[in-house]
Amino acid sequence: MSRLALIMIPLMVSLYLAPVQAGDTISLNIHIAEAPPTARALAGYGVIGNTGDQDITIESVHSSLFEAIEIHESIVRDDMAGMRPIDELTIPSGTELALEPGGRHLMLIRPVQPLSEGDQVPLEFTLKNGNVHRITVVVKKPDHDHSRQHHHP
Amino acid sequence: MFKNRILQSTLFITGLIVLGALFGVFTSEYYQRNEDPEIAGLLWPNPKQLRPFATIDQDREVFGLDRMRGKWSLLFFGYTHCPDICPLTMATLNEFYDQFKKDNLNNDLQVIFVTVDPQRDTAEMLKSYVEYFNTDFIGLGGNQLQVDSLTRQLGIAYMLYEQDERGDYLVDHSASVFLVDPEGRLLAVFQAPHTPATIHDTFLEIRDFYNSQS
Ligand SMILES: [Cu+2]
Repeated sequence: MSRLALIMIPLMVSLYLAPVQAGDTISLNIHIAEAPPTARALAGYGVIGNTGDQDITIESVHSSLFEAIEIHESIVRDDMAGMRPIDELTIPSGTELALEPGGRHLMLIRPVQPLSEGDQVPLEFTLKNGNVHRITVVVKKPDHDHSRQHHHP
Repeated sequence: MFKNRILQSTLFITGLIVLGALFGVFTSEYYQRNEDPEIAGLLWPNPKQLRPFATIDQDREVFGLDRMRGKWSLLFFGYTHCPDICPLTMATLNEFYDQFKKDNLNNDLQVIFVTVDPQRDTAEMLKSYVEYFNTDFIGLGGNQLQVDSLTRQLGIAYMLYEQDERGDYLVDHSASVFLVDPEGRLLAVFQAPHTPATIHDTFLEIRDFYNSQS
């Protein structure tokens, strides 16, 4: 095998494995809310935007720092508070979707290590069209001034 | 002219004093005679007297009705695996409590988080959880029977869901904040959504009303 092939083959393999992002018009502006050090579940908030003319559907979210990530919605009805998993999250074309306290959020389950303000967390969003978006988000102190509790008194 | 001025201001001041006194008499009469002062969430004229109960606090000490006597208690019921509504409410209570403590040198208020999921929420978990929000806060648990010795009396509804393959489960729980008076009576229920300002204003209004009754 020539030297060129030795270089080219791994390069081609890595290109093939790299996420195909062409065509997606998704923007992910996400952070994780800091929680007490023993917390077994954390919440991710932020804004997901879709500037394209096609709807985008997020099928799953993963991270090496959590055993599992689910998309949840908090609901308060008749004085009962609870969370319901959302199977997939669709962001219609040309819209933004907010993940916020008291509403939809990423539910980050069983961190493999305690996390605190400033820590970086890799997140991997898998879309229904098969594309994968990898981002790194930061752990922040919660900012309760922007919660739904204030917007909808 | 000068004398007139003095007379005028004397009359004015006397008028103010009389008005003030009348207002004072009127409001205390109003409070004393009013069966229902129409404060949101106030359970008046029939606050519920709590019976003795036995929960375990974050330092593994028994926490019963005796530790509520002589103090105001604000209680919230949740679970520490809850990453959204519970921390949001705890942060709101902390913001309210910080302000309250600054304004009230003689602190007669305790903020209490009660887990409805004591199987997962051990004393260590509760301690780290409540102290993360405020080192003054109290965390209550124990076993399910001990927790229920309090929740049953307050009419707290909660529901534990089935475990998933990881052994995790979700919990539905009351979103309200409960106020117990220094005589150990459930005096008010504050409904969600909560803000530091609404808790602050409603609590002070209720405490004033309570003091006017004794
Ligand atoms: Cu959740």
